[in-house]
Amino acid sequence: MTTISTSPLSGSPAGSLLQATLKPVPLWRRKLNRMLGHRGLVLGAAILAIIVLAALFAPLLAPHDPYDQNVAQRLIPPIWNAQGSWEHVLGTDKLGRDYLSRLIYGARVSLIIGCAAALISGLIGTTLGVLAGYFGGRVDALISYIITTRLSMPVVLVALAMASLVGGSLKVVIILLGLLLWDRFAVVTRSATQQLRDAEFIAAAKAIGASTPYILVREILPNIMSALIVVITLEMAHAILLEATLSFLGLGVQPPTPSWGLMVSEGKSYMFFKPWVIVIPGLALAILVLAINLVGDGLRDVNAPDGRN
Amino acid sequence: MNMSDIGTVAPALPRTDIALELCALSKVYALKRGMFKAPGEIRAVNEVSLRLYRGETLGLVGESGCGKSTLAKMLLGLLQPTAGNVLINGQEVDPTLRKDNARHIQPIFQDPYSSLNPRKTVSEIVGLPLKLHRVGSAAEQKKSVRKILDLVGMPERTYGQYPNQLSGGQRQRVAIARALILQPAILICDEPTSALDVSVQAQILNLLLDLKAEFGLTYLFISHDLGVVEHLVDRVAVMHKGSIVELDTRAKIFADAQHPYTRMLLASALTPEPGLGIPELAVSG
Amino acid sequence: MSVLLDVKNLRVDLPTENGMLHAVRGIDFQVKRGEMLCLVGESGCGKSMTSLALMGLLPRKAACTAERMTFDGTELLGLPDKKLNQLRGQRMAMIFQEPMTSLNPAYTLGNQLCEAMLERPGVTRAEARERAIYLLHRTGISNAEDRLRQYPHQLSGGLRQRVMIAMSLMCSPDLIIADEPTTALDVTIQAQILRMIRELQREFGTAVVFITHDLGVVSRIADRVAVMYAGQVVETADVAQLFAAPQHPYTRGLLNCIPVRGKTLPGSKLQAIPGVVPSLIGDVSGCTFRNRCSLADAGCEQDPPMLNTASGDKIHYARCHKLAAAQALNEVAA
Repeated sequence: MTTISTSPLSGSPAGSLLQATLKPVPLWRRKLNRMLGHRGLVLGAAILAIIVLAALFAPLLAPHDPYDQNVAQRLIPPIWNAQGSWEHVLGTDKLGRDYLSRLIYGARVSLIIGCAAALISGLIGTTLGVLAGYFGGRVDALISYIITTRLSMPVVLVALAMASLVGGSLKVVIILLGLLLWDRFAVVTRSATQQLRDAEFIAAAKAIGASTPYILVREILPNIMSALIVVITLEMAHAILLEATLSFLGLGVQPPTPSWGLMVSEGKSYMFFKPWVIVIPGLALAILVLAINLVGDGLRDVNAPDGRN
Repeated sequence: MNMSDIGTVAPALPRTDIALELCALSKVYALKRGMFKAPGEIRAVNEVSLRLYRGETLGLVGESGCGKSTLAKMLLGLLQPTAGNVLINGQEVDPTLRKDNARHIQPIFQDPYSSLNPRKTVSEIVGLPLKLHRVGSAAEQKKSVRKILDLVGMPERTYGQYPNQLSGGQRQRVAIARALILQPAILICDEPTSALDVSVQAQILNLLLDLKAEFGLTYLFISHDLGVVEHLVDRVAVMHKGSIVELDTRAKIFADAQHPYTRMLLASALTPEPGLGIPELAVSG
Repeated sequence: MSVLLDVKNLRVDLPTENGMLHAVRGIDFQVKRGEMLCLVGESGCGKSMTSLALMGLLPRKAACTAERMTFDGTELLGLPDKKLNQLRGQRMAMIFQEPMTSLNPAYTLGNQLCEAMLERPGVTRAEARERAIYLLHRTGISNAEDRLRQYPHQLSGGLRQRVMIAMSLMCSPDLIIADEPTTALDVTIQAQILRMIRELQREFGTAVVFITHDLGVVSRIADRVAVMYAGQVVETADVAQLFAAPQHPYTRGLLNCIPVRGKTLPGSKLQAIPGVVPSLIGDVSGCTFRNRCSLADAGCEQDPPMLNTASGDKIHYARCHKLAAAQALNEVAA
């Protein structure tokens, strides 16, 4: 006798009761309600929204041109300091460029890199993971070998080495991070696919005559989306931090482009005398990464019970 | 309908038309036994030969590990047989050419909770076979979907719902609708009611009986529930450790089984008759 | 036989996204010492929730109330955790459905078997071990001494379930709650395990609350049966009485829709119960079976009373107002 299934999709005692009695509430509506009820998620999403909007409307929000140098006005402290002025709310850097403007434009760099790198690595990692999880056997062995190889490489060092060979720039950073950060995608999608591979609806799709590409894209992928979204957000945060690291070390975005990592680097010589020069971009980075992590964690919490009950 | 038969409602079958034939079908798994020993083998299905006549319901009974699910998977092209061949309507088929075979043979699985894609609506799930095989225009496909869902007893309000909004019985109806929409001649029912409540089971079994009568279907009915099997089938094949140990008509098997394993199976089936106690079976393994 | 477990008006409510789910809506039952009571019902009837409530294993969100839920005189509701722990494992044991996951894979069988017994003061390891070997032997497991050192994954489902049964008997409990212990097993193994449970129960004098959905099993092992539907007990009687003369329309419907050799004509349509279980979320009133009952009338809008339809000192309760007439007849005849 085949065992009565206890897969996550079948109900607990309460679950089976609900199955028999559920009124049709639209799936998206229930999800939305759950998301709005999760405080971390709402907070993170709010912060993220502010930063994204600031980056989008940078030309309207920034009081000055971030590239505008004025050596006579260098290193003016921010507004809360005695010598500050409303002309430069967050002060200026060593070349007299307005800090607030650079901060706002710097958000663009961080977000672009975060999204682009996550997208590229997501495509690579998901493809590898789904193929490995679905086919198993030799395909899985090969891809697992590739994943293990990649995991054995220290990302920062490799990125540094490559960047120093090729020279740093926005494009290089995006491609580099895209090619290096796919491992978590691969691991997560691989195990999620493995769990689904033996589900009966996959067998049913095969029995109907669905081709393998169809099954991978239309049957498996939509069902691993929830896990995937969480990884996307987390890898975005990862990419942003890595870019900051690379730029700090001079191998990422090159001056005069405003990048938060670069801003920290440029200010490190005055760290003890004029701390705001590194504290402000550092804080900005921390807040952005925190927001993204809150969103990622929140999405994971919200999606976990979904479909299980 | 001739009721004077040996207590059955179905008319006598013409035994000439073979819908499905298995010839020495085998599935052997290699077992690694360390680096120095030769690999062992597990014969999940051991040279099974079977004939399924058109219009009949053949019951396949056995316990877990006997190979009946492996057999079903091979028939559906989900597993590559190690040896032997499968003939559908007299023609030898390659079971792995699933798209071609889909129009002749379709499954109904046991678990109504995992046999439907949780991210698709009922009409999408049932309409998929038509889409994949490009049968008719979009409008015609929609019509067919409605017709078949109506036939299995699913109300219209459920067409746009997702599987997790349906009960177990409803999901199984959707699975049946999906299996039948390509009008296959043969249905492989792998424990279709085992995961359902008794009252729902009765509804689904009635549905299967109705559909069989209406469309002249042929069923391979795999189950461990002998009460259900006895109610539904014409012939019974008993499977044990990969081989068919007994194959006979329903009446014969249930009245006078020959093989000791069959006898043990029949003895352990607990019918709802109080006072009979629990049979004493030889402790095996 | 004295009453061991006395439950009156047990209610379990579970808050869900769509409202309050009334999983168990006021059930009464009693279990006498050494008796086998079967709780029968389909999915969603609340039988598993009942067993969890008795053992204090409900999810935290669940709210459990009862007028009375006493075990050998001790009120279980509101009992402090420490005292509840003393009862559980020592005098009340539970056997779960899934043999694959109810044993801890990280510990040996010997370890898990002796665990509960060692909680008792004054029990030595040697004594616990000896009892474990004895019980493994009694449950039909060969090489009991070697098995103690094995891990759960080394055993098949049937063997694991036997170990679970042995484990539940370690402290000679007065009550065992078995939640569908044989559902996940093969038919032949099921027969062996059931036979064993029955024998051990009679030998040790343990009362058993056996929860199942399988009426065949119930008919063979029960002393008394309580049929549950939609969170309530709808009928309770001695097993022979229940199968011979079921009173509640649901019980009748259930018995009629099972294909039985010699009773149902092969190939004929089964008498299925139409409709589905109503929602237990939000306010539930009246008879919950009325949307599926062929005898339903206006009187079913009221909560149906539990009536005793047996004569003399036999007890055969059924929750249906239509039985009032039958009860009146009995009273007249008595």
